[in-house]
Amino acid sequence: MAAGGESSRSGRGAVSGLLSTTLSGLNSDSYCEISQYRDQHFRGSRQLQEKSLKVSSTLYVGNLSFYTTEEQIHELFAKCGDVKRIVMGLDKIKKTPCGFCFVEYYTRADAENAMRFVNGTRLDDRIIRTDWDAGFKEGRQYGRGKTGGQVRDEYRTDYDVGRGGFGKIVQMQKASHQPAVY
Amino acid sequence: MSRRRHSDDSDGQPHKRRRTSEPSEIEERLESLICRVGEKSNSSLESNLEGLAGVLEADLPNYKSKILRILCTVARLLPEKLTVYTTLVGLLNARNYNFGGEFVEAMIRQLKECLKVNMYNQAVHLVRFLSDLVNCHVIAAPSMVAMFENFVSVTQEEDVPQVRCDWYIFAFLSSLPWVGKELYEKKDAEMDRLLSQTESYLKRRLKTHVPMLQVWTADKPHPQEEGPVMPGSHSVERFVIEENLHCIIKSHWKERKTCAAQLLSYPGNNKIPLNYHIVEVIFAELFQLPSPPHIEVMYTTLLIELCKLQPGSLPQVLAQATEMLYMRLDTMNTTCVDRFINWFSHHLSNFQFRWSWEDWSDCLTQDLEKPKPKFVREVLEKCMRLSYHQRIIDLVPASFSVLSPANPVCMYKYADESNRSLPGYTVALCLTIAIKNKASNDEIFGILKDVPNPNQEDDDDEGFSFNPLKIEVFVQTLLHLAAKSFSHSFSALAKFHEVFKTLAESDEGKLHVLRVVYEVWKNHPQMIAVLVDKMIRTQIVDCAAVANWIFSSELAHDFTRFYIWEILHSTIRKMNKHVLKIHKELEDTKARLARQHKRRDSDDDDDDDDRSTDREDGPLEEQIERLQEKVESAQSEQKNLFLVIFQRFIMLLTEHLVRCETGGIDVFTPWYKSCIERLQQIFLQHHQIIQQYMVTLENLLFTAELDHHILAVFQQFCALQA
Repeated sequence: MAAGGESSRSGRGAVSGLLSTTLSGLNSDSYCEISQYRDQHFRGSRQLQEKSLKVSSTLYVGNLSFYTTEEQIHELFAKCGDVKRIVMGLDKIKKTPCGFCFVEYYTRADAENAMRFVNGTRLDDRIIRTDWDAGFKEGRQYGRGKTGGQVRDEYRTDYDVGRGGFGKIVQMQKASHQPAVY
Repeated sequence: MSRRRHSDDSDGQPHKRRRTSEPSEIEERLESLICRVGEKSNSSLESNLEGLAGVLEADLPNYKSKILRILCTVARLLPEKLTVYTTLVGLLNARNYNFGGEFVEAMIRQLKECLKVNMYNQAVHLVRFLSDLVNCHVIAAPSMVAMFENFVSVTQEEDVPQVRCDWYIFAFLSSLPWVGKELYEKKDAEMDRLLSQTESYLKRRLKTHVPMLQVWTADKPHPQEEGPVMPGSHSVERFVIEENLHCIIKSHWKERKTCAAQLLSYPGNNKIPLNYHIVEVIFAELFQLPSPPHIEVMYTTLLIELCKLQPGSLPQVLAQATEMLYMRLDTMNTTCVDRFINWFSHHLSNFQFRWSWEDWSDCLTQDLEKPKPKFVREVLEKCMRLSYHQRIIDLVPASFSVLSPANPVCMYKYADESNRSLPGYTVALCLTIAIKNKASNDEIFGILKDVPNPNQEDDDDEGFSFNPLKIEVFVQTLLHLAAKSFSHSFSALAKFHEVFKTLAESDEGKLHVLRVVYEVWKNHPQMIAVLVDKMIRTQIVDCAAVANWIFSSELAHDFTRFYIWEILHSTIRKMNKHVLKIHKELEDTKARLARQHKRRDSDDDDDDDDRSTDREDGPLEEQIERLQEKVESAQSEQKNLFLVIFQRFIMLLTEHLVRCETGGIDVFTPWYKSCIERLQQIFLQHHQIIQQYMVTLENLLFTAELDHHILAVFQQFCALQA
């Protein structure tokens, strides 16, 4: 290939006429779309939340192991751009990591790359999930489940060794069925 | 451009009127129909194309210009479907001769526009499209030959950049797989002339820049490996296949599932070892110099997606490719090795780090600075970063322990009582207690006041001149207390920002802070990197300090380690972004002023008072002046950063060259190869900025007196722009 490179964005004049026609099919970017999730605790209208999600450079990251560290998260997400801040999700009572976090980039473009290329891949052997977040606010780092962790860990029935074993409700059920010790 | 005429076979029947729809709906439908022809379908491609040609012909009276635009656009943006669309145009041309002519005219206009705005890759696609239109009887062979004669005649132009000739010759040559045969059959004498002119150009063109862009430094092309027979590396078939695969990636890189599916359904996948071609093309992009076409992590995820779709075959091909790359590490460009390390470690982290490390035990017998053991060491370090230390220890055979990463623990020099004889030990204890008790910056200053300065006989009144011991005690203690996580360390930097700024006020202070950070965290390169990043962003240290620190003798031992270069390039990028940011602020403010003027001019104002306009403009003009100064200062800092880096490289390399010459040893040690390629890497990764400094570099640093080994790098870079 010729040594002269292409720069399709720079140019001596505005792109005009035939060149400005685009194909809507080619602009598909489905991994960057806003999901259905809306934060019930969000201060403001649905409209405002959606607007924030569309310009945000913060991602919610879920399905982390309780043992995944900030360092591991940083290493992975830094592949998409400079990370501004990571806020670990904590159990509200124990103040220990409870399997989610927020990753904030300096630019939305970097966050978009994380949505395209990190979402759905593995960290600590677990498939992690990323979603747009309207922006970290103090208090949002805590799990909202009754027992302090995430809500999903209250209700799940499977045994997940990276997330404290059985779901909380199942654990309590098991505990109440303990045979009495004489 | 003359075209081949087809006999008019229009049957003269009036077209049925369509059910009325919104024009925009119809346009969307047309775009969708055209874009999707050629995709998986129950009917054959031929019948789909015939059907679509009929639909388009019917829509020509009302939607001709839209159809023209869409067809021109797919020709430009979907080159992997070249023959589908040239066939479509051929069918349309047979039904409507005028439309065919208008289409070719539009394509020529588009080609000229592309060249005007430097869209060279897309221009090549258009040239190829036009070439294939010869096969579809839309363009006459003599016309195409005439166009190519124009292209090749560029090589006779005088005083033009080599890249100009390169592009035209490339556009000609790369169209031949589609149209060479037909053109040769019709115009053999002309084609012979063109080919011989091309050959003579290729012989005489300069290749000075090539070493800078090569992935491999070995002279011979690598022998074809045993295994599935792939079309030879210089064959036309291979060229065409790879071009198309590259195009698919270009079209669908944001949609990894689609991209993987499209790659795997490339036509002819039962005749060629498609998995091998795909892996070849992906690595070609990943290792491309100066940079890959897309962000590196995309390739990792794409390969994972491909492995999911072909679990029985692709992982093995990938393993084979990895093995082959490993075997050739000795001649692989350092930048490419970086990318290989990043890819491989990230890939493994998605597959439980499963790998047959013993297969690579040959590297254990080599000097640790050699490419193979170095590669394994860096991969293991990156694997650790994505998991944890014990995991890696458990993973590798015991024999590999010499290559295993260090346990990333903090090294606090005042750790226990045995260190109590160290100067500053008691102050360190004091600081520890104070910080644990939530001391303020002022209280910290108070404690530090008593630290003697080993550099001076008598201290200043305030004791705030460069005092390495103060820096040592404070930074060691604070980092140790905040060692638990990145967040803890960042909090500490933020809380005691004032102390940091004061201690690191001088250049020596900044350098010493960096030295102490290194001493504390030398086992945890990742921590060093994030701390340096934070300190630059909070202006505790500046970019030049980081550059000087990297080239300092304290870091010589780590100089060839990957993390050092990640830090340096990250530092340069921050500097570049900073300049861009301030520049944008300046432009935005100027725009605001211009809008203000416009508003004032358009107002029918009686009040022509000069003073009132001054009052209005004053604040903005002041702001512009301040921003202008800021921009100049930032650009000056940026230039200085590059000059420092180049200067230190020159010093380091010269030292080595002199030592080798006087000692009669071979210059080309692993360290030297690494160092000279790191210098090349600076040029390549930041070429746009560096181009601004060519005169200074030529007159000040890369002068004729320089050793030819070093000067060659600069000359290669100059040649890239020739």
